[in-house]
Amino acid sequence: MESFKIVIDGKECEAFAGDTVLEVAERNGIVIPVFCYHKELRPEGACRVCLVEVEGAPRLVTACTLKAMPDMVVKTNTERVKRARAGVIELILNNHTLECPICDKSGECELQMTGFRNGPKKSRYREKRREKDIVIKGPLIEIDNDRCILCRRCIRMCGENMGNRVLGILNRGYKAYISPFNGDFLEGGCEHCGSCVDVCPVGSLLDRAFKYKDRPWRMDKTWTTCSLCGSGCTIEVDSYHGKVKRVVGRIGVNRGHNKGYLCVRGKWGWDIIYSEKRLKEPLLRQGDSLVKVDFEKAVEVLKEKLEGREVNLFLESSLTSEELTKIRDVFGGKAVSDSYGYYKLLRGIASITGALNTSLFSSIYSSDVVFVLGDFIEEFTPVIATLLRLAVIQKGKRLIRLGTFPSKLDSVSFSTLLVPQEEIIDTLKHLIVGTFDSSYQSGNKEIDSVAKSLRGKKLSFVVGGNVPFSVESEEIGKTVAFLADRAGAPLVAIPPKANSLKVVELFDLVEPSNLKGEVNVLINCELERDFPGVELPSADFTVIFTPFYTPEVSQADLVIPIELGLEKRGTFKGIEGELSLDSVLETPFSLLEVLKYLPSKGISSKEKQVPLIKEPGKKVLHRKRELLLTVLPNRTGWNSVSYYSENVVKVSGKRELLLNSQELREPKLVSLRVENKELQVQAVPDASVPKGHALLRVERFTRDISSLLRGNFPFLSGIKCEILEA
Amino acid sequence: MNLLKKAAFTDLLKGMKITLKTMFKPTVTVHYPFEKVPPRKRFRGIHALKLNPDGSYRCEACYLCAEMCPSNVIDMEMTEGENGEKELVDFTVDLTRCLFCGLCVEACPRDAIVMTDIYEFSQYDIKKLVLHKEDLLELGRYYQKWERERER
Repeated sequence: MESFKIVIDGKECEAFAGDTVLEVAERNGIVIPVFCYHKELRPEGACRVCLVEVEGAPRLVTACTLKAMPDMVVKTNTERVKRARAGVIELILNNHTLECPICDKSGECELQMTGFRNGPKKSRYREKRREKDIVIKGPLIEIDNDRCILCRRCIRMCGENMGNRVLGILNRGYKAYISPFNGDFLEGGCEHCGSCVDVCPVGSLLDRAFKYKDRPWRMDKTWTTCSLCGSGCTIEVDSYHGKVKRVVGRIGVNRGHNKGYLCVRGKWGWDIIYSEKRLKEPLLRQGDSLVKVDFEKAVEVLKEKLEGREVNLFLESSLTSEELTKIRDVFGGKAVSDSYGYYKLLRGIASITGALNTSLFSSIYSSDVVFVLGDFIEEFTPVIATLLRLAVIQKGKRLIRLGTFPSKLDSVSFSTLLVPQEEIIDTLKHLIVGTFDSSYQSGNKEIDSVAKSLRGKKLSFVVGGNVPFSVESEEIGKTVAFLADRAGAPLVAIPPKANSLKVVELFDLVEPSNLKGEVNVLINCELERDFPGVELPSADFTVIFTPFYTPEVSQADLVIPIELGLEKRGTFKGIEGELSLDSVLETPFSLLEVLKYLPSKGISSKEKQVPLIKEPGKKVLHRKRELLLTVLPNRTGWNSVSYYSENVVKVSGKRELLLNSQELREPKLVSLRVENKELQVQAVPDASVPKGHALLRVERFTRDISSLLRGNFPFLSGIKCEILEA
Repeated sequence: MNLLKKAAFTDLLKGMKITLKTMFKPTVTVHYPFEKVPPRKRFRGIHALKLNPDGSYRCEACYLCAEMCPSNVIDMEMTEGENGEKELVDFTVDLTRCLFCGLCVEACPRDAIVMTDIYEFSQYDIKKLVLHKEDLLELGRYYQKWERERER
């Protein structure tokens, strides 16, 4: 790109076409105070505090909206600018409550800082201060409108960047205030991502879990990686005296690939550390009851029971790479893991590319068109969905999505292909031919137009959401990898769990029915949550390593407490390469500490080989009259947070079965039948669910859902089912 | 002359004159453990937390006193009260480190932390030198009583 020169405060600065004066000044270390401008948001020019003087312009102009032009001469420090700035800040401060001693933002408040640096020394205002006295309390977010300076950052963040449009301004002029559109966050469709709280320059939008709990400046700040899903977000954990007080993303400051965007799990799920169900001591079965034993005794029993025996290893995939390496060393390389579906997807991809691996997520930024395959990316990996959205609205990529169910991403996508689940592979095959052959006619206009928009472009592919849990995951993997391979494009397979990639790399993942060991070892998992539809195999001895009192504890012979993600140090193999975890918290128990005492089996690592086939996959799903069931955990679900976090449970939603409105006229209780298992559930007609599909939304996996899905592990999508009258 | 002075014990008499002068005046020496000197009005003794007239805490846990403190004496815990207002959970003053400079009192925006006239607080147990919220509020009640009397 061609650059030109502008002069700011006598300093010659390099600018590019499209840059605003503020951006150029920021790059060159010239500070212009701002309120409504934020790096991640579209400029608005609402607060007028960034006024600068431009030579030749009759009036002062806002630097955040003024595009840099060649030979421009800007002054940011003249007496005129300073007076205007102080005037704006004086007007803002007139109606701002002086609650700094109790306000949670004080210490990191932009109004406080800017007021000190650029504000007037005293106010000339003699009138009574405006008191709106409107406090809107949501389950996790609170809006105190007295402190609001109406910069509209939260509205732009919610509406444009997150695509939710929950927040807005009610009333006009003097009485204007920020509110969710009908005064209720849950009803307004709030996802509780916490981005609005993060960008608020004053203490108007508050994190209710943190409200009045601590002072921002006195806490220890640790940058770590969130372990609650495959996005691998970098988060800042604030703690005081070894107790976590809050988690913040710091949008615009965060250096991770998530750029500071978080979801409800990462932002509010930290309180699982202080859950009442946290396990504190090892438990050993004596007779019918579990009794507390000390650590040495537990290790001794474990050592004795493991000696010379084969192990049924159940593994959850949010353990660190160091722990996984040690686990393989101690328990052997055969395991059942919740990454099994993802492993199938990767195996499909590897049969084309030859490597059980995925491209880095950032590779989508160097392409022009991003082809997204999968539904419910915003439920499984919410931040990835946000990043895909931002790639469109900030970086101008074209997004093309292929899936079955409508998604929030469709509002920014260039085109969306919604086909029934059993036709996804066929559609992909049409695209494989159509993308490279302009004369090809698939018989479907939509597919042809998508193929045309893929043709000759620099492509990248993203596979995620429920694809790893689809019955066809391996075949879909083959087909999409074939398309990516022909286009020479990077293919990103989004892992569902934080360290799924490492689990796939290290372990031989098997079906649960293939486990024939004598000792059950469950590490960090819950059967119903991580392995819906799997029963604990009968064994002589069952050892559970878990941070919580899980339902399986009652079946265990030995229970050993371990630490949680925020309490660990180590690394993840994530979507953006190696991600590191750090912590200042101390726990009396650690998984690595226990494993240290156990004898090593000395398993040599070998590279996994997947035979190269170089052929697209074959269709597996054939539907006649049955419905295809997709079981979908809500955004809060599928993690320990939906079970043990008090914050997150407040917004977890409820269980319901969504059916096409032509198949179900009105809400009623129905019986959902999968093979010969039945489940009574409230069914709701929903126009967005395509015909022939049923969508079971659950807030968490429980025993009845697990028994409904028996034998289907690891699949949650594409399961044949029937709806009967209750 | 010198000899005469010596013979008449004038030096001794001079000394005895002062003795005689002060002999009938009231004594200045304070027998400390049995008698006490009331401190001056602006004496800086150990800390106290004042209460509002309605019995609520005056301290809003803004942490400014702790921020001001040069020797890291003050620490506090806070939370959201039942009616949604900020509430103090614990307030600790570690007297083993305090140098009684009074900067915390200067910093307080609500005039909640004050210094009493108490200067006797030696303890056999070092843990007792860490004052908690209840101790400080008790001292606060004492201080407010003393303050009212002083104004009268």
